[in-house]
Amino acid sequence: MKDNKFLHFLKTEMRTQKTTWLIYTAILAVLCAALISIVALSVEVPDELTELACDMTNQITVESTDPEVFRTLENCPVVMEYMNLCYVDIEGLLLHEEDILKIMGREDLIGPLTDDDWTDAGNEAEGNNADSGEDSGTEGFMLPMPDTFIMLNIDPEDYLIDYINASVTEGDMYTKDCNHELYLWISRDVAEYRGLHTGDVVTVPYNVYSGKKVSSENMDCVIKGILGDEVSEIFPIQCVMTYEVGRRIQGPIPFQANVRVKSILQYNNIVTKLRKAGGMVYFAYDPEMTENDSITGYIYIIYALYGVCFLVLLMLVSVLVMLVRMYVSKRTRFFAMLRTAGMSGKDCSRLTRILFVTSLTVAFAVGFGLSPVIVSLVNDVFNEQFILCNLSSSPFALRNLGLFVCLIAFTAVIVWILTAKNRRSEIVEGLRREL
Amino acid sequence: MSLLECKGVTRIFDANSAAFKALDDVSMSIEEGEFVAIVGRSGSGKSTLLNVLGMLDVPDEGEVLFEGVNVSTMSDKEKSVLRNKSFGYVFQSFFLEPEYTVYENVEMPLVIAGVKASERDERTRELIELVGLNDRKDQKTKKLSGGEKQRTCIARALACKPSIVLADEPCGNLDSANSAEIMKLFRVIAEQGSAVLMVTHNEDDAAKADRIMYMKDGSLSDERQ
Repeated sequence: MKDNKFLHFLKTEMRTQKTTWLIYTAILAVLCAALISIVALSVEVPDELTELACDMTNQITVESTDPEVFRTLENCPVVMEYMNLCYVDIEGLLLHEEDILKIMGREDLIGPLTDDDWTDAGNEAEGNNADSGEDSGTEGFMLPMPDTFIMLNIDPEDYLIDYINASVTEGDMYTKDCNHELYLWISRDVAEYRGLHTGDVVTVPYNVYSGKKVSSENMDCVIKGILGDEVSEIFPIQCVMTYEVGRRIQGPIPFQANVRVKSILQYNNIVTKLRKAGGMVYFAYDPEMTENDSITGYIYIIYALYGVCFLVLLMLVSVLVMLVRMYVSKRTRFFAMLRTAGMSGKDCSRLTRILFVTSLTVAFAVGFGLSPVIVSLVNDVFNEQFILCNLSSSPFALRNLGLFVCLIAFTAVIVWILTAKNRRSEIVEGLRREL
Repeated sequence: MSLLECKGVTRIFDANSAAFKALDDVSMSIEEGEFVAIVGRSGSGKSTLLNVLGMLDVPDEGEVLFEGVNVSTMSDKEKSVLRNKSFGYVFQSFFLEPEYTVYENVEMPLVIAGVKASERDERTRELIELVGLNDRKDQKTKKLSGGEKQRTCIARALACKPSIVLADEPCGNLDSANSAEIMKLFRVIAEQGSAVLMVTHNEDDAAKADRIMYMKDGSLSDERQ
């Protein structure tokens, strides 16, 4: 049986050029270890990060009379994709807006709203608040409506606190499975018009959005009281929604970072849209938070990790390219000699590939073994520097193994391209120079 | 039918847009067991001719025939096999792998030819003995003297029992004593049936050949011009 010439030269080269190969292997191993380590690191979600995520996105309350706000919510992909949403549909509940206005003899207010309406409403709302001595703690406007209101919430921090007796507590979400009660107060006008009394139960239709599924549900609400003339406040129709953006995604930092940054940016987007559409946005956990502060800092950290990962990958590629070219240049004489001894140009290229892929496999295997040590070191340093983020090594060894295989395949392609392109002409040229 | 023949071979190098005709309509032939020397000054085109004849370079015009077959019709793979089986090369600058031992350098063409390890070992040892380097076979070639390196080159050239050995200034880096040894080896090779085509600028070395040809400005003739 013939001996394999590639195996023979592989062994001879590895033995005779061991210093060269050791240096190449060491450089590649370190880079590979760095890359695997970064990919292996995961953000540890609980504790500080969760708190941060809650601060920035966990729950917001939106209220508005403008249908545009609700359309914005419904059409916002981030709501459908990342959030659990409860949207209580007020239409058909007790009275439509137009019905109320007709009762009050204010048909003049029926019709599309203009910018002036909003401005006037805002001024009027501020005036009312001042008169009643209450500080709503909110900004914006309220639609001038008769003393008829429908309350569906909820937040004890809210300016509606005087009229709320809901069992819903902070952070609860309106879902089908969430057992809570909803209390209503209605105006005398509404009570007379509908023939309702205190203690009556009305069925309130509402939609529950969870992920991409929508289901219509009914909720029984008890009318807790009839409010009389003493109620002079004007309340907007409210929609209460809660959602969670800071979804916990276990995965390599680059992918995790990508999803998180995307969510955060989408979150910012929706808040901006809501505000532009005239909705008032409350942050359940931190009403005074200016979302940009925390979010920007968080994004910087995530992008920094993301950037480091790409930087290492770029370094790996560039060093790999450099090493292959250096080796080919250094060994042109060797390949030219093999050619005079009867090896074809293709076989010379093949031998280069075999040499490098073998070396890379060894380097990556070493890097793979080194990565846990590096992960441990990075954990220590990182967690000291950034108190908001905890890094931890991924428990999914299989994923790292997958990366290892991907790296081998990836670098094999690079080596293949580098040694195939112009290889034959380089050898002939090298031979001519030597001769 | 000649062993190796070229007809009307022209080779033009286009360096920096200034075309240079290294070979100009060269024709020649060499028979089996013949020892031929081509003499010429540096830059006369003799090395280029050797490269073209040895299929290391391709002529711009003309044809090269090996045992009557036009080599330009052969694929790269076929040419490689032919180089391996039928050609041996000896160069002035030795062209040895310095990190390999004498044994490994001599063994190289046999490995490429796919010869079995046991046969390879036997043939390699035989060749090393032929060139008188038995006691140096495990030395890296970078530690050898010039004469020893050239003898290693010759042993490597003979590894696959070639039909022809092409030698480019084989004694260019050697003293007279070593040159004489190399010439003796070439004579032995020719007597064993392989042709030897040697290019040199040294007329004393050329005088050892059966036939001398002269090269000047890319043209070849049987008589000194």
